[in-house]
Parts: sequence; structure tokens; C-alpha cells
Amino acid sequence: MKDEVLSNLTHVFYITLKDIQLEFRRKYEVFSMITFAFISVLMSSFSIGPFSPYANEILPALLWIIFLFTGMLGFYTVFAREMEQGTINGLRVLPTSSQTILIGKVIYGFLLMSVVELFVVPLSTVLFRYSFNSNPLFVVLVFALGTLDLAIVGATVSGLTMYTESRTILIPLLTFPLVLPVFIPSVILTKNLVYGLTFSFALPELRIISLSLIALLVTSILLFEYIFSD
Amino acid sequence: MTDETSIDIENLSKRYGYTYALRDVSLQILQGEVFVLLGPNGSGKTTLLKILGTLVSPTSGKINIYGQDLKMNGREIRQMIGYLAHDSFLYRDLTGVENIRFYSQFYNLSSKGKLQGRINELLKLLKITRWKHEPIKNLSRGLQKRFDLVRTLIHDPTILLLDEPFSSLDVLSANILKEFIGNMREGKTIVISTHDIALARSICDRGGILVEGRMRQVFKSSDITSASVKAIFERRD
Repeated sequence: MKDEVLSNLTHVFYITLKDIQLEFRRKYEVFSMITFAFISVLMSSFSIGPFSPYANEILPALLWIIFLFTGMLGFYTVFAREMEQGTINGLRVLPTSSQTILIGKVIYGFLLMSVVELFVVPLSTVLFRYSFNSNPLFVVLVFALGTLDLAIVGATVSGLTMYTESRTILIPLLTFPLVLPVFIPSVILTKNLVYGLTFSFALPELRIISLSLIALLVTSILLFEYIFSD
Repeated sequence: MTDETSIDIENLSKRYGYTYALRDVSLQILQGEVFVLLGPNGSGKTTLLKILGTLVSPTSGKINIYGQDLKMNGREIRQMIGYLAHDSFLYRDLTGVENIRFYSQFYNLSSKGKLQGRINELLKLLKITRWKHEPIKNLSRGLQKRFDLVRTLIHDPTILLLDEPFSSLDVLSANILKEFIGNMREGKTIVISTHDIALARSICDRGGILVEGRMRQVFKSSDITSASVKAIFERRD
């Protein structure tokens, strides 16, 4: 049992590492995501302006919407790309479980989105002249949880739509209901981070986020076995 | 070749929508045997290989591989299978060696040194060492196929499933591959699908003819002639 868990974890690592290696080789995925996010933040700052009294209210929602669309642009077709290249069958003949492949992709998506956020969040704080007044670790936690949600939804939706040609319609339709339970509390927490939100005050939202993430991950893992098998 | 059955297929059917790709196929393939699947386009050869390679689930029927049920023990069985598809499984942006290393990590292979040794040995046997650091997208189809064959063989599988391995290969690549299959067949069960009757006769122990998803006839290598195969292809039930 312990050996199997260990073996699955190493397989997850190999899948993630391969995707990172491919991304380093191609580069267009991460660059297109960063470019899209940059332009979106810039256009928002020009439209709203740095001195708008509503900037603190609007910006958190705006940031998460940008992250969501950035993810949809670059990461939400991660399985479709394997399908188009024919490599999906290479993964299916490997002596590993479908869950390890899904989790490997989730971690890759999480890392990819985190790289984009590392560029975009500091830029947005400069352009909109605001700062997070909470504990920096807590700020990281809030962004990490929201990003994990986007990564799980992204990998699952990508798996669900990889066999269909109408994925451009299906991806947003499937994404929105799946992403909302974590998306809304993430926006609320990000908004309150500006006002110095502490961990104890954030507990209700953190509970909702944690439970939603667990439910989403378990459902995705169970569903993925069927998606991936045939 | 021994008398022990390595692949036991019982009443296998596969349906896509209303169309049967395979209908009630039963077949026993022996350990160490080279078995060739012949049949016209759309006869179900690739579907049968995909089912054996755990890529597609059958609609009905049962398959045992070395006594293990394929449906229940997919992961264990995949350890002993090497599957070479018609289209390559290699990542186009990675080099040949990077692809092989990636796929090999999932098998219970011993030390890294031994793995590197095996990669080098296979690359040398298939005469592709000089292209090992080239991205797959820069290579010709024949070279890609040879790298894909290394991926298939890296874990020394006991069962090899080769789906039209000679298609789109030039004469030189086809000869290398044919010679290679001849050299490595010891102790392995090899199932090959092909259209080439002469080639089938030269490499197989037995063969089967699939037509419209049904196994029309199983025969020994010596009994395969163009005329007999054509007659079976054209026979109507």
C-alpha cells in the first residue's frame, strides 16, 4: 500500500516534470498567458484609473476574472493538446492510474498559473496604487487556494472536453458552475486583504474554500477514471 | 514458442454506436508466438490491438493475459505490454532520448545506469543513435517510428503489440525493423497487424484473417498465400 502511494506520487512528479519540460521547450503557453494577463491589467488600469474610489472594490474581482480567463486561454486545453498530438494514448498505455495523470496536470496548471500571478499581482498593485495589509503568508495562502481551484477545474474541464470539437463552447459552460464555489470566497478574501484581514476573521470563507476544493478534487478523480478509460 | 497460452480471447465484441468493429472473436495466442493479423481496412485489426493494449474497452467478451483478466488487472498487464501504434506516441517538442526517458520512468526498471545502457543498446540496434538529441518534430516519419519502437521496447515487454509497424517506412527502415523483430522475438509474444501478405508469411508463426470484425480463419505461416487470403477477404457470409 505504502509502496503504491509512493509509486503514484513519483508518477505524478514525472507527469508534472514532463509538462514543465515541454513548456520550457515551447514557451508560447506561458508567454501568451502572461501577455494576456498583462494587457488585461493595463487596460483595466487605463479604464478605471489609479485614483478611482472604487479601485479597492473592483480590483479583487477583476484580478480573479483575469486569472480565470488566462487559465482558460493557456491551461484549459492541456488534455486536448495531448489528444491532438496523439500522446494521450501514450499516457493511457503506461502502467499508472488515471488519477496520477490528472493530479500531475493539476500541479502543472497550478505552477503555470502561479508564474502568471507572480508577474501580474505586483503589476496590478503598482498600477492601481493599493497594497495588501495582511500577513504576507496569508496573502500567499489566499492566492494559492484560489489558484488551486482554477487548476483543478482546468484539468477536469480539459479532460471532459478533450474528445469534442466544440470545446470552445463547452469549456466556459462547464467552467463557470465548477469554479464559482471557490471563486466567490476568493474574491471576498482578496478584497479584505487590502484592509488587513486576519486568519481568524477569514475562517468562514476558508472553510468554504477547503470543503469545496476537497469535494471538487474527489469528484474530479472519480470522474476522470471514466473519462480517461475509453 | 511454448504450448502455454499468453493471450486468451473469448467471444470478444466491440461496438461503436450501431457499428460492430469486432464480432464474437475468439483466439488463443501462444507464448513466444509471432501472430499476424491480416484484413482489409476497417476489418477490426487496430481495434483488437487497442483492446489488448488497454486503450479501448470491449463491449462484451473476455481477455486473459497470462491468466490475468485484462479488465481487472489493467495496470499490472500494462507493465508487460509494449504497444506500437500506427501514429507515434512521442512528444514532438522533446528529443528522442527525452521521450524514451519519460516513458521508461513508469516501469519497474532497475538502476539508472542499466536503463541508460538499455537505451543506448536499442538506439544502436535500430541505428538511430546519431539523432537521439534531435527534437522528434525534426525527424522523418521512419526515424520517428524507430524512436517510438525504442519507447515500446524500453521495459523489455513480454507481449508486443505492433499496429502496422511497416507502414510509411522506406525499404531500409522496414528491413531494419524486420530484422530487429526477428532478433528480439525470443520469449516474446508478438501480435502484428499488417496488409502485407508476403511480409506476414516471412515473420509470423501463425496468422488470422479479420473481415468485417469477424475472425474468418486462423492459419499457419506456411498456409498463407496471396490467393488464399484474397479468397477469404472476398468471401461473403
